[in-house]
Amino acid sequence: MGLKVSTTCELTFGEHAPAKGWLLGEVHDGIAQMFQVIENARMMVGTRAIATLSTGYLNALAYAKERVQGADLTESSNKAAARVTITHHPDIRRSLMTQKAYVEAMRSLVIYTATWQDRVSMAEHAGECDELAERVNDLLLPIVKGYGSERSWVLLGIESLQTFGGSGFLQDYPIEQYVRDAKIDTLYEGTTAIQGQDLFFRKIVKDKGRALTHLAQEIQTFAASEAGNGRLKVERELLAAGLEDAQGILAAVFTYLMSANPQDENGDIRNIYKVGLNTTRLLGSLGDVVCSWLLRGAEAALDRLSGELPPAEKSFYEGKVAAAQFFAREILPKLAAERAIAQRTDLSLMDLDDAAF
Amino acid sequence: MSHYKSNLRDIEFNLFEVFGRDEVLGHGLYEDLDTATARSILVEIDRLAREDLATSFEDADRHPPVFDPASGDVTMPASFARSYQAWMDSEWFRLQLPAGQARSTPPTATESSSPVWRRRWV
Repeated sequence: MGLKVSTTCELTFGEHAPAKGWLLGEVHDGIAQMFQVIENARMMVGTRAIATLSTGYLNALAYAKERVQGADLTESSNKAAARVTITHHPDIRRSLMTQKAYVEAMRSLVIYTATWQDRVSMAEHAGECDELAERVNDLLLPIVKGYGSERSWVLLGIESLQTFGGSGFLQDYPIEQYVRDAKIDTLYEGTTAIQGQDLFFRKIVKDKGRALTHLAQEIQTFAASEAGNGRLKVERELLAAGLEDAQGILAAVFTYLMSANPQDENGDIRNIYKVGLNTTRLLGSLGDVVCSWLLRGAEAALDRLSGELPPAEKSFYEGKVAAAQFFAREILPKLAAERAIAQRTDLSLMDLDDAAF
Repeated sequence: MSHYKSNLRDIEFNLFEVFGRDEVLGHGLYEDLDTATARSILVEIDRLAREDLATSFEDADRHPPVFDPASGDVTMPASFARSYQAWMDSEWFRLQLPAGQARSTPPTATESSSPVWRRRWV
């Protein structure tokens, strides 16, 4: 499909000569080594996917600013009305801001995750162990990889390419190749489904919720603060509600996990299916809440905007505020629906005969 | 013109206006890498990505590597080989290598530079 310059191939060991192995490190150390490699790879894959959405958005934006088509919607009955660039059309503006809000939130997600890695490195240098930093980094990795690649690929297809209309389907613009190339990021180094399971079972349950509790407290503190004063009041309320919905999803999934213990009187191991039916939903919902919170850079932007700025800087900071507001207003309210769906999960899908699909 | 459009301004906004990395750079473990140096590294890697690495994006997709099953050899497209050589010659990959016992470039700096250079693969 894409990534054609990669020399991905099938390897055959021992076809021409007997295969020979070397032990790296200690015996039974392989899985631990593999996880070190894969943690680095997951950070890289998520980052690359998000970078691809970033360039996809900026290409779509450049095209939209030049492409002239149709009259302004308010002039649609006036045949003599001037043709305008498509940036005048409401649906294009919705699409462009959707791309901008997500990509800027996810760029913050990558850099925020790396700040925890800074702490891990600095503690190691001092001969110490920053346990909280290690845990939060572990928690964020499946979000960077799973959520980052999933949202990026979907948005490249449904928004970035769509901005070009039929031209997006052609190879005259880079978007069709971005869509082909970026698909791999949701697949290799653990598919999105695996990232969702990793997030719930290893990064939340096995961690006893410690990293998540820390993160949730940071989000709550911001939501309850006076950040941005009146300018971000609605957004902070929406963030608090979004966090509550994500926690509601998590509570439902925990309940399903608890009810799956066959040692308990009413425990039924099949209830574990209800967990599996919701882990991808949990990944997306937690990702949305964390990303919306990370657009808190809007607070810094509002500070800058209160002073004198050159025009380009003023536009940059206005864009930061607009993206934060858009994410909170247009994306977070959807989490209430996700919560309702998660709470209503039953086993009907698992009971359905394969032949009925 | 390059297909790759970067957003260095937003990376700098995150690093220095939101996440306060100037408090980490130039101190302790990262003593040898101050904020001004980090900014100049980002500028150079951004240029390299847009101008040298991105050049092979289209050609390497339309003329992918060729595998010879008899010899087990792969022939890479010349365009990609040039981009790859530019990356190796720049030696920026060394940012992620350990210096002595510990890592001397903060992950925020390497991850911030990586969106740009990682585009070379696609």
